[in-house]
Amino acid sequence: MNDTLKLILQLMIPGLCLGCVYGLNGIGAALLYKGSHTINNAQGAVVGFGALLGYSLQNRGLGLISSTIIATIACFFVGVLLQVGVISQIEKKAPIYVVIATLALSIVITNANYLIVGSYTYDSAVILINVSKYLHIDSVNVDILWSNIVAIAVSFIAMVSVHFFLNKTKFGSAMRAAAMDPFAAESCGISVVKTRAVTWGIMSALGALGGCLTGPLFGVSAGIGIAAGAKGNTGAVLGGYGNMYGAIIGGMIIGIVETIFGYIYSPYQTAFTNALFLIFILLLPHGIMNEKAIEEG
Amino acid sequence: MEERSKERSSSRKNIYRISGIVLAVLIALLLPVICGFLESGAYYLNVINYIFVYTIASTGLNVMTGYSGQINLGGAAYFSVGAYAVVILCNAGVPTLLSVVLAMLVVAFFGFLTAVPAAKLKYHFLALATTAVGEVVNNLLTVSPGGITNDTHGMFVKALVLFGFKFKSDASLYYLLLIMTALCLLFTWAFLHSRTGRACVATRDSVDAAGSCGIDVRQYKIIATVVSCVMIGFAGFLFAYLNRYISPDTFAAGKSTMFMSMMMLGGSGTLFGPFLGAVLITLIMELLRGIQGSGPYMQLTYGFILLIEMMFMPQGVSGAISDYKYKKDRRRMEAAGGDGKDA
Repeated sequence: MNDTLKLILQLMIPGLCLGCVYGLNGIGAALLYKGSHTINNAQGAVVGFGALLGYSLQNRGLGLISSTIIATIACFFVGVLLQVGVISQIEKKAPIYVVIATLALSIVITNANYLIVGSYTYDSAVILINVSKYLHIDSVNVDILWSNIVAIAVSFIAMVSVHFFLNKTKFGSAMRAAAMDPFAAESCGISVVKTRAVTWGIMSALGALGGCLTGPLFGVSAGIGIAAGAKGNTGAVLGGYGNMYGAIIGGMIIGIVETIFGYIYSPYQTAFTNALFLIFILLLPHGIMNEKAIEEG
Repeated sequence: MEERSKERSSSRKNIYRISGIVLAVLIALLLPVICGFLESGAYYLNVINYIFVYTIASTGLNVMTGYSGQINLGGAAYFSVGAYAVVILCNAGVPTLLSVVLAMLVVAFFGFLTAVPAAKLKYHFLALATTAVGEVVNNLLTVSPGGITNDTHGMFVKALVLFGFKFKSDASLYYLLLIMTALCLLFTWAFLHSRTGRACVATRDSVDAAGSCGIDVRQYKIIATVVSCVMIGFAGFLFAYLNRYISPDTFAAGKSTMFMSMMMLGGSGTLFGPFLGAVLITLIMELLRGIQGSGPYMQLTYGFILLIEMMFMPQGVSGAISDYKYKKDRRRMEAAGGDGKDA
């Protein structure tokens, strides 16, 4: 019994940590889908960019906290820039083109990352979070990485602050209104252009934060975020596309399930996770939160 | 007087058109000979062969995405299933022709398996689901049950033998691929002008309107998907015998994006768009390959091309050309003093 409990705890915490990062990406995907009915395939590339930015800032001698904050804020503006400069131009023509355009953006950003830093994986365990030590819990004899705990805690803080931003501030309410009905919101004096730009900003900033947090776990490389970005979409579908809270739960489920699958038989980890996603999108399209956003035809 | 000159100009146009087609066919038939005289002709011929294979694949994708309106970001899955099925069957000693037929049945069944549930999804969700299908298939190729795909080592492919003829040289493959591409384009054209094809196009234009005309939308979506999958799988089979080596890496998600971008760049929903896109993208990639350490630059340029194309001409090159023609005609009509209705 004690062994099983130990194993579950040992797998749970890294899974939850991964899940939190997926959840952060999922929030962005959900907000974007609610706001403009598109998906973002470039999220993974932005995650990688944010992680690299955070890492290189630390290399320049900045502290952990300040570099993460700077990377997050910088990526907020990257997201705004992408929306204003590229996506808003394409959105006007047909939303479906956005899918392919973000795919193109993903190729561009990822390869720009490769050009800047090369194809190395930087070991940032010591540099990024100087807590590569384990927390030992005596009662169940489990070792937990401090990086995992920090990542989970920071993700929770970020999620809660997004929640309060959307529900308690004036601009957050405007964003929700614009997502509900752009025309009505515009006639009430809300700038839909602005809310959409901020949606992209929040999405990119959360992605970059997730990238900075996963850096110490896997090492920082140019392609670090690709999987995380895709899993964000997956988690969002699992939770009910368009529902922010569902996306968090879905992301966490994906993270934990992925870790457990990885433990059972690691070569099929990708196949298992994607198959789970397919089962969900085909059999349970409204997701866990029963969000009726998904379009069937 | 005016009428006669118009007649003359139209007959002249016809002559131009016919002589153009004759010239194109002649060039297509003589290309291996011409390449034989050039310095690096073998290389050119090889690139042209790849263009043909990609044309077939993106034409297949076009049937599903361009004509039937269902996005597919997992094209590489069907491509790889087609390639692996033929090679595995051939290695097991099944005659080539029979193994091709069996492999196409496998691809069709696989396409049907994914199409039945996927037909109820739309746009982004279909994009996500097909991406997931691609990931699952690629994972299963990398770590195959029983090791039938030789996992990451990949498989070397023997030269194709059809009716006792060995397709070993690039020139022989060129003629085979030329015929196959022509047949595929012809098939697509015939499909589109059949009852089924028209129903598919109607489904794309408006699901509701098509449904109210008595078209079983779901059924035609499934048909379009299966036809498209078989064509992509067929391209995969040709690719295997052209490349002579297949591994899971050759069928990574990048291939799906490539087919998609070829179709989009050429013009989705047009017969020759995929061919145009395949020519353009393959040529651009090959030109960039010459630059030292070009890997990321190549991908970067490719991404930028796709992005700019989506931003400024989402209808692709064919769309831009027909747009230009339309505007030119309009301008000429306005200059002639008409109100743009007659003439």
